[in-house]
Amino acid sequence: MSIADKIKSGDILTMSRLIRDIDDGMPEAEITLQKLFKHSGDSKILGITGLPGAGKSTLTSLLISYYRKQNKRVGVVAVDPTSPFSGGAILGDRIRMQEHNADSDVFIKSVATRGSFGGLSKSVVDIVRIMEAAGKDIIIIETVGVGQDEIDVVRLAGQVLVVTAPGLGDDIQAIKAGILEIADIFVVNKCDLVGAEKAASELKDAAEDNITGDLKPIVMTDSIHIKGIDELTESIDIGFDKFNNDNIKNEYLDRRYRYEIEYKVRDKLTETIRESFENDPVFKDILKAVRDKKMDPYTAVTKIMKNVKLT
Amino acid sequence: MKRKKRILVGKVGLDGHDRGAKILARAFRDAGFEVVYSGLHQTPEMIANMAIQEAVDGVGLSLLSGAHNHLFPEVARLIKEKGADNIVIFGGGTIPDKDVAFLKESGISEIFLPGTSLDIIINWADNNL
Ligand SMILES: Nc1nc2c(ncn2[C@@H]2O[C@H](COP(=O)(O)OP(=O)(O)O)[C@@H](O)[C@H]2O)c(=O)[nH]1
Ligand SMILES: [Mg+2]
Repeated sequence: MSIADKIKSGDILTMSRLIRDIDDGMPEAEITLQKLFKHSGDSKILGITGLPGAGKSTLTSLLISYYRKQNKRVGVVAVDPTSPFSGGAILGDRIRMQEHNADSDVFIKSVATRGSFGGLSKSVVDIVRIMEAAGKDIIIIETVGVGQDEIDVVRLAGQVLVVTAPGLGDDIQAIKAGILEIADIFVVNKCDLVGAEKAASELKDAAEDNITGDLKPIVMTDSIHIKGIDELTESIDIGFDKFNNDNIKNEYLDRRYRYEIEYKVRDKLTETIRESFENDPVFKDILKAVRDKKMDPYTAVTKIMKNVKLT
Repeated sequence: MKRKKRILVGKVGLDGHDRGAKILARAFRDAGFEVVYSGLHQTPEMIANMAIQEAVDGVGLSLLSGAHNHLFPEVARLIKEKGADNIVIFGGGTIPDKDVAFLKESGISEIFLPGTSLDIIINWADNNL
């Protein structure tokens, strides 16, 4: 069996090894991804974002249970930040998903950002593709949750949950600052704690001020005592039902593939330009001319755009 | 392209102490590894599944309960049975010297006795994973 066929049959070892190769930037992996493309694009992809400690991983575990009760196969990609000092990372999300460790229909993958911004790692889009080809019905992506510009997940996922909780400090302000627009559903988690009602009403005010069009649902949950989860899964189901409409599905696919292609083009260009500055005499001459004040950086940009070897 | 090293720090069995495992996980992160931490009370099956899903290079098992002679070989057996015989397994905790030979015969590549410094463990992992 080819690697692609093994993936399609759901072979866990092959999946995880291919994902590792992609994460490590092994060029051969792309050949398999090309073969898998036809078998991707039909799974439900749910993004979960929000500040660290809001309860994203705990909620993810509850959502896995919900889908497993319906016998759906589940994939999870959980992203954590790479330490800028050591290049290492602690990938701790799956500690909250322990109860699924013995379930062979749940595949959980922890990845580190490895220098990517936007809340995901560069590899997530390909990991999602592999999980889709392997027959996962639903794929949950948990973003890093540190910044306010975690916009990549919106472009990749069909729906995004923005999770907040009382006691995270300036939480509502933080949400206001950037990720209010990206939510399809707001979750106020930790409703067992004081301040949850207040957080929900502040969120409602902020959302009403900010959003034109439909007001997004705000669901209150308590993930420890498992409250509000039925309301949450109902909202998620209603959201995914909209994809039965071809226009909505196509809009989503356009958004997703455009994200993927833009990302990959940008990535290749960045790499090409970086290499050119190291190896290409034309680039070195341009740099020297700017240093000697014989050329201004604006002219240099135009010249470089003309000289980039687009292969 | 150089691969980033990935490791699973795992706690098996009933042992409820994870201070040591967390310190080890942080030390590996600071040495540039990507570290998946399992959390407490995992069965050997759960550790093996995690190791495979996460495609790690190594699994570091820590155990203070005394059940290592049963649990460590079981993790090694399951990982092998699932086809990932490339994954290097090592262990530590409260393991007496007299058990080391048996564990090494049972698929555990290295055992670190109580009091071993973190530097020695990380150095070993750097060279052997
Ligand atoms: N009181 C309370 N604690 C919760 C709730 N949900 C999660 N937690 C706890 O909040 C902490 C962070 O949860 P986690 O899921 O790791 O958050 P993440 O960083 O957003 O993924 C953990 O200690 C959880 O047990 C909740 O509904 N109520
Ligand atoms: Mg988390």
